Amino acid sequence: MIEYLEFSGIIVGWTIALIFLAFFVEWFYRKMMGHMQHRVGPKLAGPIGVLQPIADFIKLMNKEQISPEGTDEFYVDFLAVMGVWLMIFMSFLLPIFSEKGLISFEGDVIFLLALFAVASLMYIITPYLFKSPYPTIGAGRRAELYLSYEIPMFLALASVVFIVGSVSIQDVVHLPYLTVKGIPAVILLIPALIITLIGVMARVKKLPFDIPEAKTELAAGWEAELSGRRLAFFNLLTDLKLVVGSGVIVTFFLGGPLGPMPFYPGWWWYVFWFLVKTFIVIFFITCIAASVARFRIDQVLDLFWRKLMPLSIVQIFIVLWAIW
Amino acid sequence: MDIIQAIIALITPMIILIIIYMFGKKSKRKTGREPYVSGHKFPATRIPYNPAWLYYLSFFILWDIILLFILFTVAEASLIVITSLILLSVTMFLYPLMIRGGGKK
Repeated sequence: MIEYLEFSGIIVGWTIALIFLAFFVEWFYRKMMGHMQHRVGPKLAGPIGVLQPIADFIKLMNKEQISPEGTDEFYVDFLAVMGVWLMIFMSFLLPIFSEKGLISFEGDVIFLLALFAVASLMYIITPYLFKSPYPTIGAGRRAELYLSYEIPMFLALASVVFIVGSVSIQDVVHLPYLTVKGIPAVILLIPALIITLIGVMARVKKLPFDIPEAKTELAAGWEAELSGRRLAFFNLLTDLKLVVGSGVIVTFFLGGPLGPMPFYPGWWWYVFWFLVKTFIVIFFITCIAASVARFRIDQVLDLFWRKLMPLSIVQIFIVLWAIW
Repeated sequence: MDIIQAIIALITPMIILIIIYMFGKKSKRKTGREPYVSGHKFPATRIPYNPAWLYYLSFFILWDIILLFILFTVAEASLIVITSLILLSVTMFLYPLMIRGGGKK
């Protein structure tokens, strides 16, 4: 019984900590983006504006939600909560406090990737529940984007699983220490890392892949009719996706919570290295987002289907050559 | 990890999120459904989109997850992996052609 209470406490603590981490990551992204574009970025709420995302969340929660006639109210509310819940549940699988996640079992890699795929559906189904043209067009764009990035990204992650020879996250985090045919495995997997990084950027709709929003063309696209607490939750979902997406990259390619030193004095040491690596990935994503303009939908399809897709298949064949 | 821990991990975040969501302000006005958030006042309408792509998308996700299972459970290269890759390649070349064909219509 005490074991279950302790586990419940850890789950509650991590859920709340993750939500605040997501707010911090949003501030980090906006602040870095501001500096890179010669702006100040958030600065009013809290020291150097660090509380701005929390202030935005509270403000949105206190605003009245308005939706067009004929909207399926219950399902919009349900999907808003479900999307955030999926991301939090995904984070339990990430190896943050030790070499395995809070929830760990054989085959957890497959479960993690399946959850990642399902979470994208929230952005596609929710706009379609509004009887409004802008969200419908945004949902269509989002669906096209999803269909294009999904296969290359999963093939890239599958190549990691092939080379490690295990579908357990506990084994996947040891990738940086693995050598195949005298070559470090991470060197062989550089194309997969590039594909996954671009895939995660498309997944979290960061520039240059913010096509479903396209504020100047579609009036925010899929989120045009979201307001109040729904918008607050979908913004939180996007922030969580950035955290968890970066966490997936760290887990699959950068050794997860394993640091360069051989000693591990406690769980905080794992958390420290996991967060350091995650913020490096987020910084890299921010740099790309700040320096590239938005793609057109045909350019995105061209990038994923004609360039990254063949690259991911080449990556699979490289891995097959390595493990044979 | 046993089944009770799995249930705790599933339910606890959901309860926390529902509580936070309930703190949010609901729509109180009867006319709260109009006008659009975008400010325009016109009757609700759905654009004449054929929702067939939604079914296609559902099928695709199912296919995607099944393919993942096949790929991951086969730890070495086999006929299944090679066939899956050929299928993916065919899909890769067909999808842009379909988009282009749709554009001409």
